[in-house]
Amino acid sequence: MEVFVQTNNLTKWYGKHKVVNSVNLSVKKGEIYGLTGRNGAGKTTVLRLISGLAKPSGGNVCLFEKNGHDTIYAQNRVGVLIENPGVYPNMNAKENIKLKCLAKGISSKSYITELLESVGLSYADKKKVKHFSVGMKQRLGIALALVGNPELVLLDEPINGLDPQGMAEIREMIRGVSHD
Amino acid sequence: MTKMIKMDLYRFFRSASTWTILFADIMLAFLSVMLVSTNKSIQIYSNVGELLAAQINGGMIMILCAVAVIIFVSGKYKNGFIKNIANYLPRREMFVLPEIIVSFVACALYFFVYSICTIAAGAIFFGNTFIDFSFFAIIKLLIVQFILHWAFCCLMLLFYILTGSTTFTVAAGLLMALKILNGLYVLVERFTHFNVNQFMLDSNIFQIGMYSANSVYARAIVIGLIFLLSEIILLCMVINKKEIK
Repeated sequence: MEVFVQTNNLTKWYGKHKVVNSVNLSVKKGEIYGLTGRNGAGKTTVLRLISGLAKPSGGNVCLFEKNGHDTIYAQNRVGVLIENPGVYPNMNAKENIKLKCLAKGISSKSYITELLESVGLSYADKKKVKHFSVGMKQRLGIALALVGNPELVLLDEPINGLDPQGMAEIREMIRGVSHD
Repeated sequence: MTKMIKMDLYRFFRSASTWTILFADIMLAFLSVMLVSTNKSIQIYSNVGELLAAQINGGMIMILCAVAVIIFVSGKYKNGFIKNIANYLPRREMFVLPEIIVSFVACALYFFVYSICTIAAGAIFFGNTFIDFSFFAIIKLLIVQFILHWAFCCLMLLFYILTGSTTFTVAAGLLMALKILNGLYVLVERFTHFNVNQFMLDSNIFQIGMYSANSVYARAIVIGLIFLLSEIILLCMVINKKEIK
């Protein structure tokens, strides 16, 4: 089965602090892989390194069995939600998703509606994000990560701020996406 | 790349701040000309070209353009939306190119609307005879000033990307637009006997008038283009080194 993520001795230094120390992991197609650890253990940094938001100080990341310069092109197949959802508070949910659709070259209007429905936000599509609760923002962040049906989705604490029902829904949704 | 430009332009025209600044732009143009016209004791300008050159030299339009660009760019980085799209472009440098294009659009919008409103206000408050001017001279003035203003916007973009601080960038922009840095240039000239004023972006914006010599115009274009090119190169270098947060 195709290996979607492979890290080899992935290391990251911030000044004199080694925040990621020789991480080796392998995630195959269709797998749901979880990283657990104490606060400050470096989980987010590992995700940032895999997604290309940060550059490793040592080791390397292979995405879709491509490494080196080719990884840059492979990252186009990755959807990310890292730390807080990156959304424009003065825009509504639809507009936020439309922006990412424009970046991906998706022009279908129904796609945005379907995506919002899938994360349970269809009722608030025209509400400005600044009026969203933490959980709603998290759902919107997940929707943004799913734009363009990425083959690999990196979610950093995706159920942060969600109510128990929301947690169950998002876990179910992640399972569904993984099967698709 | 074109998709990123489309995305950035969509956000620029959807943003409430774009239209608020445009409203301020129009109001400033009309109100400042109205204020000038109320001073009947001295006839300062003989035609609208001189008035327009003086209004642009005043630095108000510099402030508006800079504020628009800073609001636009800081929105993308501060809210973290950049994380959603960071992996879509094969090269980091490609991030700043759409922003440079948006800064061009923003600068063009505010600069030319301000100019047109100033001319219209001149006709309203000074009478039709006041707008008897050399069309070529005005176009020359506007093109050169536009290049300088766009370079100024890109400088603000560079300051923001470099420092990540809206406060620092706004403060730096205000220091330049309010001619406070000119004092520093005078000091440098006093100690080094080198006229640094001639080679600075802000000084060139303040120096160009309707009847400036062709050599002054040529120097301003060269300075503007050198600044633009160096800013674009520096922006690409900085964004390439920076981690996206």
